[in-house]
Amino acid sequence: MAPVSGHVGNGDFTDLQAVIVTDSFRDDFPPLSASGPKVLFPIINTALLEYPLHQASLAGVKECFVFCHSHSEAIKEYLRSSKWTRKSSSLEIKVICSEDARSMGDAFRDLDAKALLQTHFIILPGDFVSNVNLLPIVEEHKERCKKDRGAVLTVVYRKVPPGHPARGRANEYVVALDSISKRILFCEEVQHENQVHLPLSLFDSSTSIDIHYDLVSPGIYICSPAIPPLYSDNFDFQCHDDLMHGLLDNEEILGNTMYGHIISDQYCAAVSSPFAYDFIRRSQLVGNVVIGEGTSISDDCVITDSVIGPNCIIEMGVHLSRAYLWGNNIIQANTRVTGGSLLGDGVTVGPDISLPPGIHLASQPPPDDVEFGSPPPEPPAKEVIGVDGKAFVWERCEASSDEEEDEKEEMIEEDWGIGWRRKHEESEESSEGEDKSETDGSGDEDDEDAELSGVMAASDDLKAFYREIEESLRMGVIEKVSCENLILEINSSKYAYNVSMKELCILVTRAIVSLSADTEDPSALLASLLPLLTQLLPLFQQYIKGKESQLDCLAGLEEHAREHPAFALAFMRVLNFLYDKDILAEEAILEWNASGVTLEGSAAEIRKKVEPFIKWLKEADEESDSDGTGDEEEEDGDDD
Amino acid sequence: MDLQAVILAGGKGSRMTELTRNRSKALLPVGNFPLIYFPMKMLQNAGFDEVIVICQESLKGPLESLLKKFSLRLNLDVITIPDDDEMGTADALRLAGDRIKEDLLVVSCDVITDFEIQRLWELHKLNESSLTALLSPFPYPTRKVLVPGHKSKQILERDLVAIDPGTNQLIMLASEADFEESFSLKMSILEGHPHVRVFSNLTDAHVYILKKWLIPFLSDHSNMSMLKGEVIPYIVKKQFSSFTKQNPKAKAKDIGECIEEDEESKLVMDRSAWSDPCQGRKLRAFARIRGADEGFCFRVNTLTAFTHVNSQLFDLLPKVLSADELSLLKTNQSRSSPRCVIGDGTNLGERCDVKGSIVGDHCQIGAKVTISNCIIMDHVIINEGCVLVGSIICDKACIEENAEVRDSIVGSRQTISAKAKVNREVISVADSLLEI
Repeated sequence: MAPVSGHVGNGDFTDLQAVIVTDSFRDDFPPLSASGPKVLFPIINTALLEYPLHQASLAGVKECFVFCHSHSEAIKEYLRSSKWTRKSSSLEIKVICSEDARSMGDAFRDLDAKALLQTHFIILPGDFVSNVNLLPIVEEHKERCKKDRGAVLTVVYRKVPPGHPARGRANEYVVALDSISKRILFCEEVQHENQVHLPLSLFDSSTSIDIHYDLVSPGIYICSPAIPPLYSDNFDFQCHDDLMHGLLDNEEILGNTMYGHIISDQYCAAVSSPFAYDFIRRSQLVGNVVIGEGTSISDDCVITDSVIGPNCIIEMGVHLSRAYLWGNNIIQANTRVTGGSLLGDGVTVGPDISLPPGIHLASQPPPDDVEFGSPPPEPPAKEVIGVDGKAFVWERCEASSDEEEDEKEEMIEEDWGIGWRRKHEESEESSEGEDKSETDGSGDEDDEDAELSGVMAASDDLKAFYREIEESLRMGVIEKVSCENLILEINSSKYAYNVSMKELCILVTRAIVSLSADTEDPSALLASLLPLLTQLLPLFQQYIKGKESQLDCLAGLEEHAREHPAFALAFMRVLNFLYDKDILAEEAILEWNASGVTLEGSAAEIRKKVEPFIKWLKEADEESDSDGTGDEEEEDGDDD
Repeated sequence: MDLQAVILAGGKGSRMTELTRNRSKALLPVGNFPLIYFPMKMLQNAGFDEVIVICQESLKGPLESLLKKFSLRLNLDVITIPDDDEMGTADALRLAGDRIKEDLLVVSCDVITDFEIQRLWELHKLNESSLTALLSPFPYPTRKVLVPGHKSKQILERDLVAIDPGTNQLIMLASEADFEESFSLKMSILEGHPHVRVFSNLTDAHVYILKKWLIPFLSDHSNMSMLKGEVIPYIVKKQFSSFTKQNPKAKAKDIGECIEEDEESKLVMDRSAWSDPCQGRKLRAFARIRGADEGFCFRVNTLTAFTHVNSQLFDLLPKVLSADELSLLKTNQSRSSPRCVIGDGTNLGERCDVKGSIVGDHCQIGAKVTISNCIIMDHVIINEGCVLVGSIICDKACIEENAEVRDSIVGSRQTISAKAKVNREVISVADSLLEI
């Protein structure tokens, strides 16, 4: 048993309690979470669980229940040796273990059955990082409960705009609050909705209502003692969201009300997925490196934006950038770990290898679990992790069989909250015109612009976006990742950096052509480029549609040609190829050509190089259908 | 302010037909001021010299005498429409088309406010707004009000206004009646404006600033008749959709092609570090909400508003009128309570009791008449011993001896016979009863 110090037991219910549920009841981090509890994962070499405990003690909590489901022994062990169970600790920690609990709702039913929560209490998730000062929120909650006897819950929200990487899965909802009292009037998921509908009756009691699509709930709740019995009374409540919906739906019957508290200037985020994990660490660590105890680093290493856990050995010439080593890792000589890669406890990689950016490695094989698509349990090829590498790859993107592919894509999309958005755009197109201009005879309609939210991105974002897609394309070509997955990656980067469609077309085009061999000889360049273009053709088909995007594509090619003389010489051949593959239409090519006629310098030079092709296009146009496509093959040699 | 001001005074007062049958809405009495005096005075105070007034032909004469009577310094450019013409507010603006050289301040003739137009203009200029509207908190304490001549309480119309609280951009402006059971908002709008505040306690003051290019747009779209009902919702909605390219077959230009950018402000935008709240979209509407400390704003466009403003006269008018003007609110202190207005040429008989009421010009009021909380217009004859409570008596009506009129409306030129008792009725010509 965990050391439970003698409880004062004076029945003073004014003392604040807290509940930390260490299990999310989801398998977020397989296989890493299979070997240890998520709450003990290191965030900059501190266990995650330290954050909520610290938070609770700052908020004046006297008694804190740590509710465990899986890995309870490891958590108990951790707490036993932590500062929280020392005599000087202001927190009194009690560990509750329940192997039966299958959901958050079960946890609270269990706590209710044990009658442990007798006063107002804070629910803290075990997996969040925050600097929010909860004390004023608790005070506000208590004040409100005095005024509104039905008030049972205060939900803490954090302001995160749509499309921001900190919005994880299941965060796509719209919340409506009374602007003055902050009472929660409405809460609805919007995964597949085109519109939100607020009942008009809400306006009878509220003169103004705030509709928020920029909130995420990190899982912090301030509860009145009425909450645990509510879980017991409603067996179907599996999570806090169920509770909220139940309370809203039955407000008239139960008379219970909820309030929201929005924080915008303090930090809190739940580590709900590996994406969030990477993001949270990055946001805390700009340009920093943290090195754990007992770690040795040899000469000639370059380390940026990384966290190195305890007892790691970093050998000569290692390059770490945005790498997270959890401890007991050996990085052998001349190895590169980049792009948010995550190396679990005890993983060894190298030597002389570049790990694919963003790879997740664990020292144990992934669990043989059907739900997660049973990735092959054999260790990955030595080309990936190095000759002496000891690790198993856990890659969710890699589909193991066709049937599961769709499901997996959806999971990835959900992680980024983009799945519904695409569906939303599609359905928007089909439903468009329903309210076809009652007022206007000219026949124009509301075609919603997908770029509505296109923020004028800072150029830093564009650069970062370009680097990211270039990296994923490069890896994609080497590992022969399917183009569908590449499109997903590009789309998620697009949303992460708020890149417009136009910028995307230009940059994707540039990134693709930049993958060709770095050579001065145009024919060698072509030899490497054409297979590449063939492989990545679906990307062009995805993004380059219509004249606008074709012009963007041409602009991207032109930009690249200006910087790479060899590519400029091969330019005509590339045009010809894309024309043959129906990516670029004649009209767009001619318009692009015409747009630069008056220009001088490099733009004119490039156009000069493609003159034969343009001439052929024009002639073919004049001859219209009597034309064969054989003759352009002969023209491609004459520019070098 | 580089603005041209227009007062729209052609309205028929369709929400108070009981009163406007024989008197234009613009001339309805508020105390002893005609309603249109208030927007005219407000524009003069804001520094306008010239004001375009669009009104019925019959209003032209009274307007000019009004200028003299109250010594206003405004030059009125009156555009008239035939008296019997049904014309919407947008139709009226179209008439002013060729006189519009600047952005346009459009004010309805029924607005009483001392809000500083300058503040609305600042918001308009700062955001390169296409349309900027003034909104004001709902002026009544409750939504259901009992008015003279009606047996049940009237439910007041409510607008639902959605605003981006960060920028004041107008997301939606619609009447509650436009929605069935729920208020709907497109997700695509929420993506661009993830925090939207929806108000149900604001009324549209009908004070707008429009970009001048909207006038040619209106000329092209002759099917849009009402500003509030059609043009403004159209503009607000169009902010969030892409403009359609010109369809050569279409008669009217798309709004996207009507937009004219001011060269100078474009230059300023390009060179400043100003971050555009609308992300470069050219069509944008904004709204200014009158703060609690920013004076007073009231629209007299319903029977409820008309009775309310007249019953609260002595509390409300000092907020918008100067001391000199207030002295024009002549009171007959000797015979009645101070909260009364008695018009020119009106004679009160012996032992009359007038309380909390407004009595117009040239009325004959007999002896022993009791008048309490009434609005009595001009040339009304009230004979001996009548009791009038909470009623509105229109021009040239006649109340015969010892009649009792409570909470009713007596229409223009109507006669109430001797000893009659009228309670919560509208006495009017037969055909107008049908309309009510």
